[in-house]
Amino acid sequence: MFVRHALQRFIASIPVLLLLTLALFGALKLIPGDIALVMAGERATPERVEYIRESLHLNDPWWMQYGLYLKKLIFEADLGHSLLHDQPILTLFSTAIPATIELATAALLIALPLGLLLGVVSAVARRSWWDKIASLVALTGVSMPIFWLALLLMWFFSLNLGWLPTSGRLSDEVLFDPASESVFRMYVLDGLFFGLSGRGWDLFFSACRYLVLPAVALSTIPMAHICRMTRSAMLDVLQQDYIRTARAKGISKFKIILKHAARNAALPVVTIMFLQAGALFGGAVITETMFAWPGLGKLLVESIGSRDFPMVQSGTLFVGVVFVFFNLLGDLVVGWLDPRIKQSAAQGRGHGS
Amino acid sequence: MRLISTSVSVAALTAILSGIATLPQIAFGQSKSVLIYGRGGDSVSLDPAKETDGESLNVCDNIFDTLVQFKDGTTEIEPGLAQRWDVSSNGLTYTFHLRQNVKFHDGTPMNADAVVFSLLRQHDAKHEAFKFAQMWSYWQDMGMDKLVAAIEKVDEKTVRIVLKSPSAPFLANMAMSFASVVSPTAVRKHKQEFARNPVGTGPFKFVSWTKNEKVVLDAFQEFWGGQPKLARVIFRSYPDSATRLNAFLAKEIHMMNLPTPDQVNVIRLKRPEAKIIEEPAMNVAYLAFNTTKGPFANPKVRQALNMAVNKEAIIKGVYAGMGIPAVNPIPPSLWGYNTTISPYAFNQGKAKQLLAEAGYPKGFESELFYLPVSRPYMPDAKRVAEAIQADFKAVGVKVQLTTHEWAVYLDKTKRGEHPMALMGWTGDNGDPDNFLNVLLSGDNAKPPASNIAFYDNQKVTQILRDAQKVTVQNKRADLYRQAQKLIHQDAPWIPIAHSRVAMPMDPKVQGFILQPNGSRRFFRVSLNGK
Repeated sequence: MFVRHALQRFIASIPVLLLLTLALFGALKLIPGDIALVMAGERATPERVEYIRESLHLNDPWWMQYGLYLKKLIFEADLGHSLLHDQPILTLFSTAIPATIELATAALLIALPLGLLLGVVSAVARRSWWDKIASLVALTGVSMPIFWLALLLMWFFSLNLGWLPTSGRLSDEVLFDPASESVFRMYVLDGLFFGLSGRGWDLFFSACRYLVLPAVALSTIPMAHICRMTRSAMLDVLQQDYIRTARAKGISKFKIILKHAARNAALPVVTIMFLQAGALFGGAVITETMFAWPGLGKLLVESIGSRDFPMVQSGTLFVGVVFVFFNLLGDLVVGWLDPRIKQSAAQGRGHGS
Repeated sequence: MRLISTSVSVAALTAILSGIATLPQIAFGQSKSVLIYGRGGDSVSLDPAKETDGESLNVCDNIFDTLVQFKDGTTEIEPGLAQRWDVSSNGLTYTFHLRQNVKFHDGTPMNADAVVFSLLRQHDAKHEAFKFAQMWSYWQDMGMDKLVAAIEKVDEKTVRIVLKSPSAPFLANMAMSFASVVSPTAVRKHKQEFARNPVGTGPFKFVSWTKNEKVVLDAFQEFWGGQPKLARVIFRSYPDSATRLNAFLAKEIHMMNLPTPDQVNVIRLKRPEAKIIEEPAMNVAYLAFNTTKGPFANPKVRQALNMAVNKEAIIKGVYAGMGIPAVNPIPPSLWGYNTTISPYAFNQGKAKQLLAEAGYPKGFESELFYLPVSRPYMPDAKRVAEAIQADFKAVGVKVQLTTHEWAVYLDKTKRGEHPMALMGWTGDNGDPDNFLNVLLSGDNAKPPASNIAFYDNQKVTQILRDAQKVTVQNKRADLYRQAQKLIHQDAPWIPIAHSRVAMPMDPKVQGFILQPNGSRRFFRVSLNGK
């Protein structure tokens, strides 16, 4: 039953991805002016414009260009070649993506427990001061622009207190050459690996110190979303008849929350969690730019700025794929948690609609 | 259960976070001679012949050398890897005599073969290394592919370059980064990847590059010019300038490239001990009249409008003081700059009078194109345009402001669809030819034109052609001074400003000079303890 549901969801996401490639391709075609001329800029020589046009197959009709793009993408897993860096896009991704994963994971590790805790507390103690504080934190988290928060964090923790570095990934004083010595491309993991294999812990500690501020800045929005969703889902469940029954039976409040309410409230929370994870793992453009974090978001911004269109296309596609993937994953987890969804999937087949 | 485990993990996380925050800063002894340079973006690649952007070339300039080079702080030429050179009397043949016993960082010798290899790979489509780049950008941009007839080895220590026509700016081109001498052994070994494994003869050798993070260079002890004073230079990227400012204030970097004028003021306030040096950049921002259109065909109208614009106010308001008013089309840091020309003084009464003489006592209506993007020479073109609009209105000329998407803008101005347009130029090789010939010669006034004023004074064009053929620099400088005088009288432009560049530095940084061409050289830089 579950496998069928999973398969259905998976197949349903294929047209979404195809549509995405078409939309991206179309969007780049809609850019006003000659793309080749845009890319070449002020000093465009006819030779260079022609070279760009040739290498991007801009002289072919659009459907041929799109067909070629899809063919390479699907059958050769070829994401294309960055014109700016003169390197395969895959190579550039291979260093940027781990950096993004490291940052996103750290942000989730902060956002998830904190969001859940604040949400549950404010639902259980509704209209109390706890609730108000949690609401305030959530509201601030969701509405404060990250670049502003980033500057505030740097100002407070780096400039005033001197506790943490402003930005970057690693101190220059740590004797570690990421280009040749990094195993995971995630310095915290590298540090752990170094430490455990007896090569000292300064890499680990330095990597952690550099990770704190960007992770905190990045965690605020998902934390706020998770908190709000947990609160409303819990409130919803707590008003149900079976909770009243449980309370009437004299079960302790703590037990009711944990055993009866939390499980049922989990569904919408899980959904929003995966949506947020999808957004995080697609690269955080602003956080990465502000904290000079060499991840996917920064790579994308750079390629947009320098009009590296193959890179923009593949980068955006990757972000889309990550998002669809996490959505799918969220769907599956929710389906697994909630028997009703599995049933409706089975019924849908029965009705033949 | 879940709640308990969550709260436990929150507690644990908080403990870890506070633990990390209170850890003492790890200090290392080496930091004394390690200079950290904070910049706005990463390098694209480290092959100096491939790239045209500053962040790539700034690193390359410390790894590689050229046959001739710019003297520190000037645009004058001095010997580099070539100890001396001769020019044939017809100006076609340049013979370079190479410095002896120069070694590349990989230990191979720098000789005539290496020089020929380095240049020929950009020139000759049949050369083994030609295909290692998508495009040898600057070689083409500077017209070397059309100018050079042959690049030959005469003997082990002599190289001859033959030109198709005499061109004096050729020598300045040879001082540009793209003419750097690269190790043929390393190019053959790494092919395209040489751009990420550069090997040259310069004062610093390449150590490592972590994309979007940092480039690390170490001193090359056997550098032919002597030993660098720094042991290591680290180029760190900070794409957001506010972050770069914070890193500088937190003393994480020794130098901060490209601060905004406001940030310079913040640094003066928050880190008063910091050294800040300023230099005019090798660029010009200008308003080009389309001299083939309507009232602008009349030089009197153009002169009048030159008097109508308050440049000082624009520099104060839009450049926040980080610029100087332009008098001539070339910046004053270039040799050949004509210091005797006095600018059209800001005088709106006189402007009106001149307009009346030209037959427009009530003024007229027109259109001004302004750049849709921020450029180093013009940080905010819209505000410049608005200031000019107000100034013109005061003398009776009503101007409508127009802009287009960047590529369209370039295309339309090259084709002369504008009555007036804002534009600018950043110099490449420090040769006046690179400004005057590109931007104001009649030879470049046919669409798609780089002379977007479509200014076509036969006399000026002839002077600029002659100046390309003469090889004696004093004579060339004289010719360029003459050209500037004629251009000033004809007033095809309103030269607006040359922007200024500031470099805030830690007080420990000694011996750093801002080069007119924007190069960052660390050979003579040292870090002295307090």
